[in-house]
Amino acid sequence: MNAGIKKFATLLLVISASNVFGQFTANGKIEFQRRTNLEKKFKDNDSPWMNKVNLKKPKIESFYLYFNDSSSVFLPSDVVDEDPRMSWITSKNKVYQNFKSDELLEIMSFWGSELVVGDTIKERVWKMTNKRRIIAGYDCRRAIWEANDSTTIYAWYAEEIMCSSGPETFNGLPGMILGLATEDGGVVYFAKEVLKDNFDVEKRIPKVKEKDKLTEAEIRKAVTEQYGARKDFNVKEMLDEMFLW
Amino acid sequence: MKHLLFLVFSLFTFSCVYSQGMHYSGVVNDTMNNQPLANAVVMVVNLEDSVLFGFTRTNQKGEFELKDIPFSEQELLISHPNYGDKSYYVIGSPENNRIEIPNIILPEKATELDEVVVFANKEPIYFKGDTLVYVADSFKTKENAVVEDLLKKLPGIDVDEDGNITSQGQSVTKVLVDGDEFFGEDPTVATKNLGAKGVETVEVYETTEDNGDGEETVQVMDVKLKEEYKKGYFGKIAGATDFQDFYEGEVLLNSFNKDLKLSVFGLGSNTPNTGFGVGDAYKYGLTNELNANFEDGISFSNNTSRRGLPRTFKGGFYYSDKIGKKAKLGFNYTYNNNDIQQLKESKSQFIFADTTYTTRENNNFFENQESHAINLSLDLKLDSLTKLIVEPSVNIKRNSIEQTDSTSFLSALNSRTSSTLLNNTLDNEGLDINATVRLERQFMKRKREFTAEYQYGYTDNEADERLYSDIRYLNGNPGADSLTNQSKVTLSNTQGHRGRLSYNEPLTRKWNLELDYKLDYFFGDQSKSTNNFDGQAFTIFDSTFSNNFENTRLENRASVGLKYETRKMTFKFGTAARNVQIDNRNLFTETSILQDVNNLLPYTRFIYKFSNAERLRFTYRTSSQQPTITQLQPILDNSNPNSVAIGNPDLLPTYAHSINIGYNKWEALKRQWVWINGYFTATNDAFSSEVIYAPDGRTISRAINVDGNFFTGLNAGAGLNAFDKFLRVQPNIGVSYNKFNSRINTLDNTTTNTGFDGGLELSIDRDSVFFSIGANYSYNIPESSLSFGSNQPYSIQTYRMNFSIDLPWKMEFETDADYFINSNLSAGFNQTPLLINASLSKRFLKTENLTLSFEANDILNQNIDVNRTINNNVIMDRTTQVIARYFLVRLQLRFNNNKTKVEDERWY
Repeated sequence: MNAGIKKFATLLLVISASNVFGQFTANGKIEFQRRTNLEKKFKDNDSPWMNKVNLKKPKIESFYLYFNDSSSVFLPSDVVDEDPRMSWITSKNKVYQNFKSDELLEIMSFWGSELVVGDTIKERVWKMTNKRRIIAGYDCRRAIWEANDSTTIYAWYAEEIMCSSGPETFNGLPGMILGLATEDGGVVYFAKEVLKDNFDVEKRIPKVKEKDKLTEAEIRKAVTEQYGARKDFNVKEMLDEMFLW
Repeated sequence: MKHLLFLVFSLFTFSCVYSQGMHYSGVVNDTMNNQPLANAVVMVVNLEDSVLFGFTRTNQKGEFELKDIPFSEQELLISHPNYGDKSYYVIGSPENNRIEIPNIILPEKATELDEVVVFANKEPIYFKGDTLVYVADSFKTKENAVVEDLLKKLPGIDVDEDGNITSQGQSVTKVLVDGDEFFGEDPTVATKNLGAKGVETVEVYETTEDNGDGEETVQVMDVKLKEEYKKGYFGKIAGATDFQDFYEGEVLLNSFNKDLKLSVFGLGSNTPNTGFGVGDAYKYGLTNELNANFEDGISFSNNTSRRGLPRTFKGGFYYSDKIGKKAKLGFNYTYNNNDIQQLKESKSQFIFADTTYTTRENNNFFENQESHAINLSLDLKLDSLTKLIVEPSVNIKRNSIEQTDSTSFLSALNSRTSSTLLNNTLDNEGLDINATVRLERQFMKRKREFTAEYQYGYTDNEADERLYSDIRYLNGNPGADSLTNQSKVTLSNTQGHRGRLSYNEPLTRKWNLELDYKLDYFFGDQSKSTNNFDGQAFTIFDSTFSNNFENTRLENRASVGLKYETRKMTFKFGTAARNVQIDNRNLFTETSILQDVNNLLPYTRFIYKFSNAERLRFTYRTSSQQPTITQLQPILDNSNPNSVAIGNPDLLPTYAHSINIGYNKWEALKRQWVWINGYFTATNDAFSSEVIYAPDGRTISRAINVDGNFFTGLNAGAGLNAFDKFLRVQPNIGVSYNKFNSRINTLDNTTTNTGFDGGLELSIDRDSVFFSIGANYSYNIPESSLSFGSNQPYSIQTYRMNFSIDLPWKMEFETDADYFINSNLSAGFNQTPLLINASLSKRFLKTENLTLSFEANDILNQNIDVNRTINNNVIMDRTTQVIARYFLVRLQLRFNNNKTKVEDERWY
């Protein structure tokens, strides 16, 4: 090998080495697309209203996740629903997670009113797999969360994004969750695009009044007290579904 | 993705009493090891349920620290987008809670095959593509262990008493050492002679081989040696005696230097421990004779059992070397001389619709066999894509048989009706020559392959036979007493040529076209001249028992097939079409038996891999077997006048359909496996026999074709752990059903057998103690449509126990026991022998290479050989004299070039 080639090889090595450090993403914005299969979601619902809406067509919505090394904000896009009658069918939660201060702030819609959740970061038990797929150009590894006996959620996370966050209140994997799906594919979140930039996460935290904050346990208790006796639906199931995400 | 898992048991451990959980720390570096890797993910995953216990990332210095991880068997996985993953398998406990790995080097990102390395429980196993690889050093073997002992430790691999190997329930037919056959094709030469310590890895993979009728999947084991074990010598001198009747002696010298291998061996014994059981040819690489399909009518004799009194002597050498970089030369010579003396006693019940009778037979048999076998092989690499293989072999053999047989025929009322005295001698001399030339060519295009092969076979054989038989009728029973005194000379000479072309063309990345053409020509001349005794000499020519045949056989076979192959599955289907023309000319009568047979032989194969360690396979194939010359020739064979055989010129080739379905799964970390196999084979025009019973009880049998024969069954087995891997549990079950048609006294007879068997083996393998106990039970229901008398169900129970323990003062004690119950044998044959063997040995010298041992075989002196066979309407119970109790003192010296402790070579 002559000296020129050697130099060139060294240069290549340096370039590739700098790539190694350059490719990790610490700050940015991710656009998520959520597809909800309404047929699966409402398969047990025989209300006459259901006949009026098109359940065949998946409902597609966009969300944005802004993140830095220790916190993230998850927000629905401003685009309005095509069919306003169907807007209530799916959730449009706003979520702020701060992993340094172990703080969760979530604004969820509950029967038309806003509920403010102030709690600690949700912990989930993840099972690791060797399955991989590429999402938005990132190599992701799949992990599984068995939420309860009937619900299993798959999460694909990218190690290259340093922030251990994800859509909704998801977190706890060694990288950013870029894909999230229920086992039956009824609800699926997938990252469409990852923008590397310094976005101010703090600025985007939803403004709430401190006195409105309730913990998950408090909400569960209150709702159960209120509606627990109702025969026409299962309150626990509804709450579990609400706090699943 | 590259996965590398290994056990950190005590390697990097320091005890820390105060910690609340597992504590990991370390430094991650890149492949070139010249800079630390920042931001690499380090996570701990619980092995039992894959739950993520915790994770962190490395800092700019590549350092990481993970604390308070719960104790469990867990995986520490380090990953980085630019590199392959690396994992450590850790058995975490309060005693083993601080793991510090100062220099973790991540492997290159693998681009081709997945590689999963599991070093679990000191048992590292991984898959390299489809190859299962065991890393030898991680399996604990005894000081003097040979490869076979190592294999016994490998999960999923079983070695039986004869040294036959199975992997995942499927038998391993070939054992290679560093990709080559080691001193011949007999697997046990390698497995019993190479030390376990020299082994780097053991690899098991599947390959397909053509057996003439179609492709068959065979399992190959490749034992890869460590570099430092590729040069040197090792040897053994051993002798054993009881100072009276029995002796065993063995000399084995092996010298090897990378590619040059020379082995000299000699062996003599008169105990059952000669090892010359299953196929002498295989044992010392005399495979050319066995592979010669030209050899019709002469079957290779093998004394498979321990029945009788043997005497064996064997000696020879194997040589192989590489000449330059392109040629490989192999040469071996084996001399073999062995005797067997057998005393047999049998009782046969012949059952008919209206009557039964019994024969009692005493047989005294002696055979001596002698052979010289020379094999030569030359592999030439003409260029990087072309290989030429030349393999000639010569085998000179001689055998002689002497036997006396006396038979009494007893009526249903137990009165003697007739008796036969028979005296047979045979002297046989033969010469076999075989040669194969094969050209293998690959092309730049991936998977395009071409093979051309030519095979030549020549045999020449002369047999001199003397037959003396004296048949007498007793107690007023009808029949003419007859005396036969004949001399027979059988000459046979055969020649065969076979050409074969095969070609594989990749149509797309996944589809392959396979073409094959074979031309087979065989010519044989066989004559038998029989002379009767005139009182002074054998001068009276007997045309009934004389003949002269010329045999020509021409086979054209073409096959075309398609193969679809992806990582997950293989699917293959195709068909062979063939034409066989047989001209069988009787030169005495100037008549010809002509056969012209056309066959279509379709096949299909499907394999689905759920993962490398979990597979489902399905095979369907058709095959056709030609009748042998003896089966075709309408000539009486009276070498046993009590059961005369005659050929059938109208005998057609068989046509069989076989279906095989199998599933196996194996979990490396848990060291557990399960397999299940089902099979079904139905044969049209199957070879069977038509037996005519003369009123005096003697038989004439003729080969015939029958339809509707089939056999089917299901087997399953598993290997499991119990009590936290303390106990190994290996259950197995099987069900089988066979149906076989024949003709008896012109009536159709259908024999079926339904069999059930189940077994369980429990074993405990500890540092210095090994204990295993196993039981097997089988229940058989034979049914014959003609004779209900033989339809008696019977059961066989076998129990075995094995125990060995290392004692102080370099001593070792071993014992094993076998107990056998065969129900429903006739009186006098209904024996339940309990066989117990034991040995105590002590090792001497610093290297422990000198061993003195005391061995007791069949301590209770119960060894008998009892055997029941049910064939159509005949139930035969037979005992054969065997060597029972004997004691031996054995002295054995092993040595090697390293002047170190040498691996033991055991012999069976």
